[in-house]
Amino acid sequence: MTPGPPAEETSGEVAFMARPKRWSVPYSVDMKPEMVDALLAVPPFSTIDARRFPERLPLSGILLNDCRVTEYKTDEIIVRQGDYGHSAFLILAGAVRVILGELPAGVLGHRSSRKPGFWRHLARAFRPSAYPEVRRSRQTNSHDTKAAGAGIFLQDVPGTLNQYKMVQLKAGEIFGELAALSRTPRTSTIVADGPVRLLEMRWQGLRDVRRHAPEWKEHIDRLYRERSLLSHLRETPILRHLSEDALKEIGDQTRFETHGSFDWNTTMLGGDLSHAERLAREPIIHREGEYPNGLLLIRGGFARLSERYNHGERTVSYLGKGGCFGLAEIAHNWQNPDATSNLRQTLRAVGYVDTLFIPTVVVEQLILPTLPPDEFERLPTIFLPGPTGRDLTSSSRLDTDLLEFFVEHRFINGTATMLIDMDRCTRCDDCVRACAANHDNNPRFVRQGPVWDGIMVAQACMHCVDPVCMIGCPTGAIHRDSAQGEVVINHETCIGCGTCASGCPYHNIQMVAMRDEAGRHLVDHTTQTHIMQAKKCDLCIDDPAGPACVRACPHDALTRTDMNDTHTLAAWLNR
Amino acid sequence: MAKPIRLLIYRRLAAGIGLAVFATALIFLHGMLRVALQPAGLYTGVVLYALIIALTLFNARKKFPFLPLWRASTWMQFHIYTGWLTVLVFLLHTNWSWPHGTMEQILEVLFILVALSGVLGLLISRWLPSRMTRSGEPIVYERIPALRVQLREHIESRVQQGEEATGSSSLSDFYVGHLRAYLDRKPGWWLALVGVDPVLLRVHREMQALQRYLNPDEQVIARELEECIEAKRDLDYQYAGNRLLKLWLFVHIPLTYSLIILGLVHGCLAMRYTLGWF
Repeated sequence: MTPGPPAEETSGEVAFMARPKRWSVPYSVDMKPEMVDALLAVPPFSTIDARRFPERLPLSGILLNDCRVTEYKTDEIIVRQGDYGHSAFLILAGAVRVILGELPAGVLGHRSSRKPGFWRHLARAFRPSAYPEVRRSRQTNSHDTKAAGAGIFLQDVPGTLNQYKMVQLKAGEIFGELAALSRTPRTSTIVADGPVRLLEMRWQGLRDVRRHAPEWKEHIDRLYRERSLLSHLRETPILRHLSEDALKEIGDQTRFETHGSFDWNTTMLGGDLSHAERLAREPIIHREGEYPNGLLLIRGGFARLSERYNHGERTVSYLGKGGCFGLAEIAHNWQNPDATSNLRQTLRAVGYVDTLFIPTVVVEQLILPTLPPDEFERLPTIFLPGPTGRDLTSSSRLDTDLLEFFVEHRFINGTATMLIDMDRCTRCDDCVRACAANHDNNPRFVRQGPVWDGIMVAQACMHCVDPVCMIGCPTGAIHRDSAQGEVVINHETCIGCGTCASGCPYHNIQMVAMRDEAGRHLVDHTTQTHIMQAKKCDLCIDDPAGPACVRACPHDALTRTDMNDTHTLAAWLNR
Repeated sequence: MAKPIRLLIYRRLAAGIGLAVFATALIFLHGMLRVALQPAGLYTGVVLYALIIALTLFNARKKFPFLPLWRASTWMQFHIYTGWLTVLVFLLHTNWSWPHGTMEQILEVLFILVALSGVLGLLISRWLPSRMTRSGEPIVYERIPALRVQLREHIESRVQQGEEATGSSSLSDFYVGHLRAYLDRKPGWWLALVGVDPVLLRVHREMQALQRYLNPDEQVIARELEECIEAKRDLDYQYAGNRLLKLWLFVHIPLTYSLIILGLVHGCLAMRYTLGWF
């Protein structure tokens, strides 16, 4: 039986309801038990030993509640490059084409997000929410639709076929696992090659199948490594001009490396540690003064770049995804074999870092000789995500101390970190009121947080590069918006388990007691406890003008900034 | 390398030049109207009232934060520079002189108070935040009373522990005689302006005097109390600063509404007797 939404009954000042559970809202209501039986009878599911799955999480339950079957017509877009995805696909019948290369937005039929207009916003002024945090009986169920690109067909098919390389995937093959598992944007556009029938599995289901079916885990992990490697190499600026064959050759000699600890979020706040002790906790990937024996590309996580300064170390920059280390030195040594240079900075893992290591000899043979002269000249600067530490400290308020502050608190993970210039902030709380007005009378952030040199990092969701809050969510309620990538919560499917709130290392998610539309607190009729839901900043995703907090600040004291865009950050600090 | 002009300084410069140009044009136009024997007072009065209404819209915009009506900072800049322009129009309207009628005198006093409170608010908003930021951890205003209670409870328990451990009443006498009153006290807004708290100075003096009666164990607790007193000082400064940053609005806004109402009456009377309307 497909579980329905929790039923409500009322009594006096509270309203009782069944506490929402993981599968209270299935991925698709069209998924039926007989379809599950049919799937279990054919590979790959027939090869999985269903007895390995726990009783509360049977394979059939995962297929019934975490999967849906979707059909696409010829040339219909299944996933679009750049969109955030939360699911992987298994081809049941037909074939798909993976387009290698970046298609223009027009060909992909990107639609602007449908945000409510001015009049709808005006109407809100006249019917404000009477109570904080109301669980409405009908809310949008974002799951019960096809993927973001669905319903849109690839434009100019012959032109695309001629211009781009494609790879065909056939029945039985899996795709989309990269974005689903790594919480990153889709790396390729995939279209239906004729009518195709797919089984789409949301990432929570994929995670659980991997956990209990070792053969699946091995297969998916292998795909993940192969595809993520090539996709990352393709996206790396220095390798863009290389052919697919050269990329494959580089890929064959590239080493995957992981440094640091994956549970960084549970251990990151070592409050009383000195700077030296903190540095000692961060594993050194490459040390200043060593010979550069390879080029390091950052795939995920963050690394601290520091250099010796008398008896200590000072942070000069940090590197995130797409960052590159050692290239300038390798290029220098290649040009000046008689006057070689060693690494000028130390690279440390902040939390954990996934890297690709390309040996120096490969860089010298395959990459440097093919670089256009102008790119070669700019090598020391183009592969850092922002200005180098020296540039920053020479003329900017974004100096070494502030960098240390951002790195040590791991604020570098934020793509929309709320920074408040406390030298301009008059504590008027207009930002808080604006946030409350936009969100059920309950502000989604707290105007407090650590301060350094007058800059406060407020307690508001930072919409992290690596949103660890999403890792444990049993229903996928916390997810990235497919178009913009904001981390948002689907309040229909949030069961109030609190996993995200306790997983957020910045304490930016709050568990809130919910009310019904009459203002009564919702109470679980079995345990007699409040029905809770996770609440956090959603960057006013429905608001056409952007985050209300930023717009409401009369003193230009507040901004939301991508901490990896250090140029913009420095420009704001130095206004 | 030449330092680039900072964005906010550039904005101030551009707006200042714009304001100067506009003000010069207004003075010139006003002179032309007077030379042409036109009812300049009527025209400036209408412009003045329209400007006051436009300035008031800033507060109205705050009530509708979800409407896409420019950023509040843009409104603020408009409010500041239009405010200065309004002062000029007011001076042109009154011919730089003190009026004779009672209503006009009340209106003039109201306008001066609104303008002065606005200027004062602007100065406070620009000067006080950085001082507050460097005087202890920024604290949400509504949380200060709870933190004050927490601090007091901590001090009380430490003093009690000290008395029980040493059998001496020096610390508890000091607490009852001087410290408790200081801990219970809510500072006035003026503390944010003055920065020096005479009550705190007295407590420090008494604390120093107390040292001669303390044994080493009590001195350890006394040092802890000193830290707590510092924390209370920071709390008081944040409290006073927050109050001052909010308080001036309680003068500025009600007076503005009074000005609007009285200005409307004044305008209607002027229309009645100048143009024969109503």
